[in-house]
Amino acid sequence: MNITSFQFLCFFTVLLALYYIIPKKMQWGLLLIASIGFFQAAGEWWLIIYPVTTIMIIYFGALYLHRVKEQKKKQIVLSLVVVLCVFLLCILKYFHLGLLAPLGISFYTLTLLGYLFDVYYEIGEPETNIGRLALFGYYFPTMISGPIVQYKEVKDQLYAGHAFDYTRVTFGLQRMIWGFFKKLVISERMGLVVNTVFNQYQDHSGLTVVIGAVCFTFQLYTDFGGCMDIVIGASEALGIILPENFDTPFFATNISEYWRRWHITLGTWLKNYLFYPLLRTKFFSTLPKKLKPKFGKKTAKKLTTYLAMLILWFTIGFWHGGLWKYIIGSGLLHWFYIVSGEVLEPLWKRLKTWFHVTDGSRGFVCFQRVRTFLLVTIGLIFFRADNVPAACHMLGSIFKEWNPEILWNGYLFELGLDWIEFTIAVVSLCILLLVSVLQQKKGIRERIAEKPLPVRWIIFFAAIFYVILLGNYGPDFSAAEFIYQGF
Amino acid sequence: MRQFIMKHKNFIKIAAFLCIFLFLLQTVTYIIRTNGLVKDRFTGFYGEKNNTLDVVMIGSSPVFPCFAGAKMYGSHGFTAYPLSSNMQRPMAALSLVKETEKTQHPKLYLFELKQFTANEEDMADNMAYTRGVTDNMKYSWNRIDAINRAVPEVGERYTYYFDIFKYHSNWKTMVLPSQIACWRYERLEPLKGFEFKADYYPMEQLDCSQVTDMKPIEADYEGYLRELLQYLQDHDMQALFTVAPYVYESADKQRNYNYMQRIVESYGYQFLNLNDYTEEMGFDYATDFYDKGVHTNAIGAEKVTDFLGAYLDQHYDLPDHRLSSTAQQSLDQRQLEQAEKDHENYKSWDQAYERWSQQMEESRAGLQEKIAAGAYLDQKAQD
Repeated sequence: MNITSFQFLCFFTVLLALYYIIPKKMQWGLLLIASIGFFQAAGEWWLIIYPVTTIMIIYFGALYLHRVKEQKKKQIVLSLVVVLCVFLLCILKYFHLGLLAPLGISFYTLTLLGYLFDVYYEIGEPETNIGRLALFGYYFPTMISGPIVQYKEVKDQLYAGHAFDYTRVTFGLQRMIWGFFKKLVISERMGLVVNTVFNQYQDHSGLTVVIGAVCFTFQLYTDFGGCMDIVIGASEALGIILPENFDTPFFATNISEYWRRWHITLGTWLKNYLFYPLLRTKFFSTLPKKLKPKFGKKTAKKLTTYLAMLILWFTIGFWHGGLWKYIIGSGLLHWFYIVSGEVLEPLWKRLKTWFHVTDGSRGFVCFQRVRTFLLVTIGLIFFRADNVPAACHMLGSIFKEWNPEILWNGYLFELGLDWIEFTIAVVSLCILLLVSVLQQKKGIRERIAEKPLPVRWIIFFAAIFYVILLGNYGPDFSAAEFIYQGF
Repeated sequence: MRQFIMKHKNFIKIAAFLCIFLFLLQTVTYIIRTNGLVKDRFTGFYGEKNNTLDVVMIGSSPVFPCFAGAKMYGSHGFTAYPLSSNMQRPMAALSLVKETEKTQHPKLYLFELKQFTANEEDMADNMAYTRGVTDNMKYSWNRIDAINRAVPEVGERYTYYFDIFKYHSNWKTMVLPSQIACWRYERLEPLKGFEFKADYYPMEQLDCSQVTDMKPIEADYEGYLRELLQYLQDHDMQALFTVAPYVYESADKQRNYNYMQRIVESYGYQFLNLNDYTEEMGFDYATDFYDKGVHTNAIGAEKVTDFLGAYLDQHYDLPDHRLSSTAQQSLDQRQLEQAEKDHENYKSWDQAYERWSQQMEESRAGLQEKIAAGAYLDQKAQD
């Protein structure tokens, strides 16, 4: 069941109505049933075996970890459970053994492993009710593409009863509309240009490739961001506030900041459960000492961190699908950006002095944002291209031809969008930018809520019909699934 | 009351919001449904004043280029309107009768039966044949019922219930005045649903006059026909089942019609196969078809309409709504005023007849030229 489908809207409407009609103590049970139904609607019935198995393993594993005091036994059990879960994940997702990967498999595997680690590190208590744990792992808004939630963040909300709150429900629904706008109006349109350029990449060069790549950056952001708006909005309407996964990532001035704003919950998870534990391992804690005689204390420490970061970024890339194009595009390239940025820091400082550039000045911030956007876009060429050689070919072809004339000779409108559709895409992107800027100071929903009722309703109806009329959906369009749903 | 409103303020707001939303959704959908002759015909039907139609003609594409309601009005004074669409699926006939009864109570229903000899697999495969009817009906329970009958895949029905799923990409047409005028799906059709075909294609008649045996139509179609007949009978409605002139693909078609005739007559209804009367109406197979013997052209349509109009006038008690000069002479001033007042509802029919006559002359002249030059329709180009 795609969350932009009519079926999902019906499913959610019925659920929302039932949720606030039934007694509060039964609400979490309803959510569990609805989540199982949502999962089952996505594929074959037997796919339920995987989440049931994972939840059982995690449930008993967590109880055991909590009960046993011997560190060695705990370590063995933790390792066994993690290996088993990761093994199942890899079998289904990376090794293509002819089995179907269940919906959002990576997301709930990470969610449940995070819970297990919290119990292991004694940050959290284990859940004794397997049904409640199942809801945590299964909760349908997070199942598709995250956000990857931490048990301690949501447990009080998931199982507590929620009274109908008009403002919260309407805010949630408004956010869902915003998500539909991003996905159906912008992302689907961008996808048409992206498919034209990337699917026949040998036929394109120069500015055409740049436009295709930039369109993919917008497509991915509005696709993933739109999905997050829909699921976070749906959850908000149900009274459960989920963590944010995006914070205007293209306002980032460097790659490190970008990753603090893009897919936030994945970054947090990997930092908490991979990067920091990695630095605490014997190998990494002793490495600076070993390197110190040769490189000095400061450099040895830095080198150790860079090595740990290399593993972190490799994992991020690998998590996206185990292919080199992902490992490079979403992992190693970003590691390279960050490390080279730090290594060349003295040079940047000198250049800034020469050019009399002041940190924080409007012009320089603007330059930094554009630079970050372009660096991310280069990575995303690898991400979207068929494979690494194709991505390299595309990058090379940018410099093969100087063809700015495509901006005015009409060629631009032959890439999948005619001039009207292109105008809609540009206007919609401008709306997105405007709202993002306004959001920096004060939430857009709060701003609208302050307006008189007729004004509010005009805005809402305009937004709803903008999406209904200009969205790419229905029998004449084959709306693509969310890109991150496959990860 | 005030207390009630204050207590339930938010729920009232939600209900009001949903009502406005549904109204806007319906209005926008009506406007952006694909513009064209079928839409014009249906909006024209809904645009007719209540209880002003005497005959409603239901059926597939042979109906609207063949039976000219405006001409029947001009010649006999009764109003006849085609509620037809291309390759109209047989199960739609009953839904259209129910739709008609909401605003009109015609003295007679006329059903063209060619589509009952079609192949259901071919018809069901093309959703345009279903949408021709369902996407031209106003929103109602009857429309939902029509969709449920025509679309077996439950998972696909929502795109029919909410046809904006299909037509939202027509948003560019929202600026057209003709589209905006359809906001209530009511807009008078100047020719009362008739479509002029101003080309010809020479054909030869397949003589089936000796074919008297029968061949059953598809079981489902027979079911729909019997269901329709039963409904008409139960509701004491008058109906005539007919077949417009066309060139049969084979003698089996005649056998199908023989079979249907027996069913129709067993319910006490009349069956009129106009193919059996082509000589009487002076129908010329060499010049009176528009395409390969499937649809009549303007000249053929005039002949068929003259014959059918006279037949209906003779066999059914249909009123004359015209303000004829002879009738006016026998009325006093008060009666004349009343008659003129009553005629207000039929003025658009006077205009339609005038328009039809004018266009008929143009079409006739054009067709005669083409016939004289032997310049018949290039079927390959049409295909």
